[in-house]
Amino acid sequence: MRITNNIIHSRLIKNIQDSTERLAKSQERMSTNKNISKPSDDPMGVSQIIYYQRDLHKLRQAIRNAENANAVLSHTDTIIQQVVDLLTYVRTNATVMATDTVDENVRSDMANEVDMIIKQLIQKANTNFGNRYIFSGYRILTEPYQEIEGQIKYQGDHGEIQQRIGNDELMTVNIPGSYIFGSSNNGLFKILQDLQQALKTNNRNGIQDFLSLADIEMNNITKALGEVGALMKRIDFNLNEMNELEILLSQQLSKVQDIDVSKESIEYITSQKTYQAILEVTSRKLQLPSLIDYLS
Amino acid sequence: MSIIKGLDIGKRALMAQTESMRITGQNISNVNAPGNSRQRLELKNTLYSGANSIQIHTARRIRDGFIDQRIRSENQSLGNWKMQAFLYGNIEEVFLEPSENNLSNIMSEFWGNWEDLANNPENKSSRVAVIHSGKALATTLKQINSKLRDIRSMTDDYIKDRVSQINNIASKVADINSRIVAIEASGEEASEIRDNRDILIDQISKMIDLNVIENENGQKTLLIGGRAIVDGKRLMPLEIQQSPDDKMLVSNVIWSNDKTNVRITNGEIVGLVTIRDEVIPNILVDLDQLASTIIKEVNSIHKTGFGFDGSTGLSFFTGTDSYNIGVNNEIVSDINKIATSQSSEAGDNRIALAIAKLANRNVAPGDTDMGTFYSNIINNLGNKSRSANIMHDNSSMFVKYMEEQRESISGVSLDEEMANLIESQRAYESAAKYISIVDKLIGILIDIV
Repeated sequence: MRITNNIIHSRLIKNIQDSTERLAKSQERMSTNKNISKPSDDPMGVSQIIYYQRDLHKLRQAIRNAENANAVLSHTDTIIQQVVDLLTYVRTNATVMATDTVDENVRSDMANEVDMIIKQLIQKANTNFGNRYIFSGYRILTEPYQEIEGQIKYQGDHGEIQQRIGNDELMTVNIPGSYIFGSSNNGLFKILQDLQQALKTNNRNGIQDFLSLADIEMNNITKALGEVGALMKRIDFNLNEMNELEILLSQQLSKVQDIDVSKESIEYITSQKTYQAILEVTSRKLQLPSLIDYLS
Repeated sequence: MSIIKGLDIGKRALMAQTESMRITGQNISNVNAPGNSRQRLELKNTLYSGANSIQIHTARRIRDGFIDQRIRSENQSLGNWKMQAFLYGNIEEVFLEPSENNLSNIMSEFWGNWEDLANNPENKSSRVAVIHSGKALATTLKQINSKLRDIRSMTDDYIKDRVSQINNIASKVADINSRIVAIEASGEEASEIRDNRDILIDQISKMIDLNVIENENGQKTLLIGGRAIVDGKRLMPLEIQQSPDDKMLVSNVIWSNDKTNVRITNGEIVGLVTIRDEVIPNILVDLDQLASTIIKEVNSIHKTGFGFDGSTGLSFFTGTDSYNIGVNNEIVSDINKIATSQSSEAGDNRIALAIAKLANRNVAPGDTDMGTFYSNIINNLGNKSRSANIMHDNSSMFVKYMEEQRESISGVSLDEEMANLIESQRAYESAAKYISIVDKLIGILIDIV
């Protein structure tokens, strides 16, 4: 092929341009730390990145949900535990009160104590955790228990509040108060009120009745406590899994979207050296003599 | 042969070599001129009283018309892909992928905020967050829509500009056509103007698919879609006709004299039209579908739910597509109207949960979820853009190769010209020597008489 000056010139220029382009691309990757700067660089890769980003978002949200649920349940657990303690205390004393080793004055004093304990329990039932009543079911802005005409009425409902704990798993994270404390004519408050009455009126039979009723309630409450405990265990288990998965996903995301530093450094140095070599060759070629130099 | 004739032969030899050196000088001075075709002295032998001698010499332009044709043909594809690759690049930039600020993450954040709200519907900051991310989602969709429309408008401007350039250049070609006739009437080849004309035709060939026909009187007729835009010295220009289309005016290319459509099948204009009328509208359709799905699905759940203040039946989003999506002002001004509850009890978070769950449900067209639908848009775009770039690179390489071929045939090599110059110089010296000898002989003759 016949070679002209222009051909030589344009080939030299093209080589320099190609080499500069390669160098510029490498520089961009080095400085942004990103392998892919636009979808056309690697359409598959971008799809993967979007996919991982989405999964990570969802996972991190689930972790937040789980930690939130854990906090509420933990508090619930504590309260119920305290209720158990109080009930145990009352029952133990009631056993004594049922015997004839005590007289009506002692019983009368006990009645006052039971009254105070009932008030304490109402307070615990009406626990407010972060702006919500945890024992009201769905009615989180309403105090679960109010004393109305001598009865301690449950004002909440039986709503079960669910949250996404885990990838697609919904879990109930509350216990309606009535499951623990009963309402109006049933449950813990009722039997305690009855006990108080029996103590005031020195009714040994009444006190006796309380003992067996208290056992039933204790069963209920411990069962509820067990459920809460089980929920918390499941949440902890999920949290562990999710935390591990988060690390894994983050790594996978990084593999696709971030540069491999050592590989990219080598590429950078290589393209620099290539560029320098081409510049050298170009300058040599441009300085080569032509026929003109040889004609006298 | 009379000796006087010998002088004539010598004289013609001198003239030939002078002309040769002139041509060499011209080639050397034009070595860098773009589109320049070198010239060679063409020596034609004629019969001269039984003896051959150098009689006619003309400068001939070294040019391969076939290669020109190939280049022009490939230029059209080059122009087409170049425009598409360039505009695809612009379109990609609109989406900011891959990054953390992409639409996908903004959507994820929106669904996530609904879950936070489900966790704590009584929490004011959770409500604020939902409004905030809802607005971000709407704004981002609108921005993408608006930027795509901007690109579409810019593409149309490019089309108008190209038509104007084509007319401009075509009129210059027509002008050259008429001048060539005048110059070549005297038998000379109008080499430089022909080169100019070829450069101009090359320029047009990038922008539109052109057919070039050369006739015997040296004129070139340029045809687009079977009709002549340049015929001899006449120009039949193109024109722009605008019509409304989807919130903007689009330009249609028509023949100025009878207002019919120009049949264009390749070149930059085709690339531009493809982007303007196919690529961008398709993306806008997808974007609108995504937006309308979000609006429809969120609203249909939200309307059945109850806000903290008991209000119900409210939409969360206003609008119908990615052009006009917004967040309901009623809710923005009173965040307690955000519906989270199914039963109107404050702690009932089932509506909030249901809205959050939309992220996983296959409510988008094609029975996919919204995130996947979006990711498909990006994937599609990336693949097409990549293809356009590859096609552009390929076309580019091919044109460069053909141009190099052309340069190899028509280009000037300084070394070669120097060698020619030496050759002409020696020939001139010899011719001069010959004349002086003949002159001496004539002198002897005259002295004898």
